[in-house]
Amino acid sequence: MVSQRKTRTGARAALWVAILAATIYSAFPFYWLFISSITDPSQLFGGALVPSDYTLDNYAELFAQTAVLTWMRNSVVVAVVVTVATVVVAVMGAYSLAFFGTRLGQAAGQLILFTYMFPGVVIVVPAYRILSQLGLVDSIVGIVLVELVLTVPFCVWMLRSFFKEIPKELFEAGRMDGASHLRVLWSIMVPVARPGIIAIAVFAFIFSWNEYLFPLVLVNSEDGKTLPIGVAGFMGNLTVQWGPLLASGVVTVLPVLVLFVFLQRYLVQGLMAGAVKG
Amino acid sequence: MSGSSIVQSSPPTRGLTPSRPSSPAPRRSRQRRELLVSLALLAPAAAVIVLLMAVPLVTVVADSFTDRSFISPTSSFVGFENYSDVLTGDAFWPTWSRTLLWTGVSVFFQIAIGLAFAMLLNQRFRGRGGLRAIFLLPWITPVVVVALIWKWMLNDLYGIINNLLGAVRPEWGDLAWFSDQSLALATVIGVNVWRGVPFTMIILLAGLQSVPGELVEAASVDGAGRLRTFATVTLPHLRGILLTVALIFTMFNFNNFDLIYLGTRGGPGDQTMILPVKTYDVAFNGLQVGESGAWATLTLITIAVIAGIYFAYMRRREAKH
Repeated sequence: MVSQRKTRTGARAALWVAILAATIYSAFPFYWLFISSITDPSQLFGGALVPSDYTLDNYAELFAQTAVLTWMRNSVVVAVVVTVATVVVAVMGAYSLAFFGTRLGQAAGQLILFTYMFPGVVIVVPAYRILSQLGLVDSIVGIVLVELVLTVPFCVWMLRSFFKEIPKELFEAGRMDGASHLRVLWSIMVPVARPGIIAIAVFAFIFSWNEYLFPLVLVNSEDGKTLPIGVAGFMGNLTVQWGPLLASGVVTVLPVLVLFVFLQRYLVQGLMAGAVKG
Repeated sequence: MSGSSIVQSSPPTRGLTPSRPSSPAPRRSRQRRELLVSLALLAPAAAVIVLLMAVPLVTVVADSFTDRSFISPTSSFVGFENYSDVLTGDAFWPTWSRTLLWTGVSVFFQIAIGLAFAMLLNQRFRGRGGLRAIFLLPWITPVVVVALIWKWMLNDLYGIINNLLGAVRPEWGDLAWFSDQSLALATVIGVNVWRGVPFTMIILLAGLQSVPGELVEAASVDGAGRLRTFATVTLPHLRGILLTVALIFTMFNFNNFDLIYLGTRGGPGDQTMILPVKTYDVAFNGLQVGESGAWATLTLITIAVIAGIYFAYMRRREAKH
């Protein structure tokens, strides 16, 4: 009995050691980014894990000396428009794939997996040429259009697995009663699949907010940059000060972090539903 | 407000009533109308995929047979010239095999660590939900911030990692993680693994939670230890999901551009140059759209072959069961 209890205590201890190690691995880099961004410059290069002098000067300098507010505004506009457009397009598409029982609906899962095969780089060179012919380089419209290709396939795929969990009788009952598809979709499916719709909205926002390659190619002017492009340019600048640069990193990650903290259960549910359903 | 009440209040005269669905002619027209509606609903999503994926793809392949560049407004057909230039040049095969190495090593560690994290989260302990959220953080972080964080932590002069290593052994304290010839590829792979682990973890956690509890219990009643139970019950159950995750991550990594571009630009020398970065580089720094198209097409062919092997293997596996 005693030895059994001992091994159980041992297993428990091993579990907590593993948890601690995994937590440090995942979270310490974020702690270090944040703490470094508010460390007094005199201590920034000392490497103390908990500095003793703090300052917000880095943030003041960042906002005073760079166009970070303009970049942020661009990022917000792009991400919001991409999110709204993605949700509308994905709700319609997923409804069609989930409830009509067409052959396309059955093949869609694999088809969407198939779209992951194509590197963004392959898309971006011709996209740049086409958009420059349309005069849409350096415009929010151009970025939004191209970013839809990142969000739409994934969100259709995920929402379809949410719709598939809704009993088909609910769909048939609505149709039998003579309701139009629009009505069935809006009054039955959207309310029932609300967690799925929140999940795809959050995904679309995060994907778009984080995207680097497409705006990198499609934006030439300082005023047209999104936040990641601005920060990357700042990072590539050899004379840059680490303090404001680290502050710009915090400013870039903060919005998705806040969104994630409040809505992470929808994200997890969405990923897990998609994973098991395929 | 419940959906069904709205449905009931809608006028009963619309469309065909269910009382006579068997007369063939209106049924066919109704079927056709349903098909049209389903296609119309799908149209915007299909348009995104066709216009933003299929059209660029065809354009890229077409460009690869021309001498198109960003410098001159005109271009002409050159046959396979770009391909022979690329394939006989010094850069292609080292870049190609490096891309496979980068992909293979990344996928292996992303899945191995992701599985370990998933198994950790599959244990019962207090604060599990919060921990799951923390483990997911690297995945939702913008890649530019990922690059910034690690360039700061791994800075050769003031990085915290070199500070800590230097305290152990002074000669470890000045490793140039991103700019040393022999270290750079390992460094970007390490950062790439860090970024990918949360995604494999959450998918594999879903798989672990779908392992029937009775099976695990039965195995432990039979006297199988934890390792044994894992090898004989859990792992076989996870196999399908593991294979799918491996395929998706093979593509994610193979196609990756941003992390390497932000981390090293493919350098030092060409030590971290992979196919997508090269494709970008040839187009936007070399301004050679045609040659870049050849790089892109060769990349696509490689991915298609990998996916083909995967699907052939899956089909054989399914046929066996």
